[in-house]
Amino acid sequence: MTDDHRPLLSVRDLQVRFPVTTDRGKGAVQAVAGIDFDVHRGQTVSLVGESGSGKSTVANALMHLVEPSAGTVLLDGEDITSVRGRELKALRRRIAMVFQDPFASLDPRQHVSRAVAEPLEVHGLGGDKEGRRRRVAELFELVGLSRRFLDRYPHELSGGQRQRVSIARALAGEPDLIILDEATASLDVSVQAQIMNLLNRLQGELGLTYLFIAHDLAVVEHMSDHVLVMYLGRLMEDGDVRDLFDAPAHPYTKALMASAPSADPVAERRRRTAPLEGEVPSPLDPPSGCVFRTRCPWAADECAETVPPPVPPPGPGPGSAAPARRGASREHLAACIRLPVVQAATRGASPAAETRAGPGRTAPWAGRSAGT
Amino acid sequence: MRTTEPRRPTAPASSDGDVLLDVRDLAVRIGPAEIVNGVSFSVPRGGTLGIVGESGSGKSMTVLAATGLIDSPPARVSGQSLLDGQDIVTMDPRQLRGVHGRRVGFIFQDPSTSLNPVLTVEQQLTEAPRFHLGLTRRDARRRALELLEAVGIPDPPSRLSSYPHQLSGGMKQRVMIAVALACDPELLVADEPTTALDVTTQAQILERVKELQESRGMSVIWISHDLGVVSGIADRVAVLYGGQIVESAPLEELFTDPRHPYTRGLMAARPQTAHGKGELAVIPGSPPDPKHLPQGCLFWDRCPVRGDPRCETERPPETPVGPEHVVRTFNGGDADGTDRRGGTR
Repeated sequence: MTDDHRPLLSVRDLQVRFPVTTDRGKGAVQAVAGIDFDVHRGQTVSLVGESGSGKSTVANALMHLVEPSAGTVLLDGEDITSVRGRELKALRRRIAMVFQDPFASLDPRQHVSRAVAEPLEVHGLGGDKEGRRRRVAELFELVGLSRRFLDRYPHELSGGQRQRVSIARALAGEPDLIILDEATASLDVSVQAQIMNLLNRLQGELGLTYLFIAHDLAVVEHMSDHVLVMYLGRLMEDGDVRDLFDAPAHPYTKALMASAPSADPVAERRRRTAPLEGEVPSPLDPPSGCVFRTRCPWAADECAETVPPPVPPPGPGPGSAAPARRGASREHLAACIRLPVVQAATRGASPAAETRAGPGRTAPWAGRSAGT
Repeated sequence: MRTTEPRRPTAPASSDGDVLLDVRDLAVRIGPAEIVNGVSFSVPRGGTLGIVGESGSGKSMTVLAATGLIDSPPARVSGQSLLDGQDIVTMDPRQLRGVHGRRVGFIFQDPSTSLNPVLTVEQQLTEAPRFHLGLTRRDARRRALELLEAVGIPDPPSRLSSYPHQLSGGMKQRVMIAVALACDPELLVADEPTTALDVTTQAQILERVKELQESRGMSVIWISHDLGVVSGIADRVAVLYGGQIVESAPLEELFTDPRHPYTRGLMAARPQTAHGKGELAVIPGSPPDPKHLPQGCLFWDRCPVRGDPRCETERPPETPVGPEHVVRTFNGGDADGTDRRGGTR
């Protein structure tokens, strides 16, 4: 907390490769192919993308559930890229994780209060047994669970209640960062709304920082300050939530948004064709050039030859004198070499993209250029 | 492709010739649990009914019972489900075999549990046409290729010899749809078939089913927990709660003029507009326990507009509030409750 501008989490060129053996011999799947992002205290940064985009692998790499193959991860300025042993244990107090299916992440044979007490014991928090018991009860209250649930088993709770237990468990170690990996995905709409409200309330009260991983764009729009769109292990687009949802720049982001059902029958009837053809290509054999080009409605010959410059790391850009502000962080960026063409065609007018690093480079996206 | 044969063997009991499936007062009990409690709906030929509800609302059980897929016993199914006038509820297993896979096709949520892992795509796709339609192996194979093409699988000939594990989730679901369509059914039952898929794949599958439905004049029942998905495909929507239809209306009318407080609550809980991290409306409480259903309205303890004294003691009737719009309430679908609010809470 010494430096206001310093992000809580700073990820640079993170790569994760898994070795695989195929009929063509030994190879590697590049699950995360070098991504850069920052998460500031009190913010929610979301990772979105289809299955296989690498979003959960990023989370697992931060927790060292898989080892990063390259890159650096700084937590509050401290390098946690290759921690081991005692340091790793300490790291897992500072970063907590909530998973999609609380039924799978809670031990069916233990009272749910044990799930919350465990991190306290492991990390020596909460004092003696009585102190821990009090702390568990406090945590239950914090997540809106009555004390009568303390001595229940997971199967006696509803899905929403189980997810509240998982959140209480995540809060037990007073972590700096909470990774929410599809934490609301398997819940019913009305329960999902309760959990989203709870997460936002806790963030406001306790100043929590979230890395939110989700595929549901409506949920992401509601929860996030900043959004990162991933495809085949690469960042396609990076922007503050309003910029990104008001003016999605990358063809992939546009397609994702157009695919999401809108609960508006009139809009749904107007939509006659599915916005994206085909499926995510195999990461064993990613397309040349831009990895999205095989499904991109805007792809041209050059896309097969030129790899779009990746979304650059956050921080002061080469041409900018001001340091990145805390909170409202940075420019809106998309990794696409045909951005001006896409924009001109979809907006009808005003190709507002100024190129920061010359033609053919990543164009910073003037998110609200039109009308605001 | 349609093998034309007389499709109405016996005198239709349903009054309307345009109705394919007419479900009347369907109820399902399993032990002490009252899972479906008097559901009536009809599906017109070529039409799509969307059934929306949360977990435990009885939406799957309703449709499984209506199509004869629930074993009874242990379940007790009552009421009628007339497919062209023939009651599915009272059919014996032999009669049901002539319905399942032949006149009614099914797609479920998880294609990897619906497909047989040790059979090739070809074996799974040709089984029903050979059994029901008596096609030869060659004709069945030709038909399988057409079906794979129709559901949008690239390079069908090479896919025929694939096993399910060699296909992605979206591809498996397409194969499931092809299997469901193999005998050119009159009704397709889709129970959350896109829930486990990515939004992009979901959009493709929805689009494909719409096209197939239009080209074949098939009826569809599409079950979902997501109002958004249903709004992409249904003509008419029924909202289920506690094993009862609490509201049913033509699609656009349901969205523009929802009358039941539960329908309104579901719509408000859905994050869809840009209002930052503001509080989402929630429906307090939880759905009723089917083993201990309340005497009165099943939504009573969660209802923001309860007030009528009957709410607590009687089940509200299905009240028409428009030519095709029905809502289960005492206050005539005045879900604003502006003049009735404040009751006993």
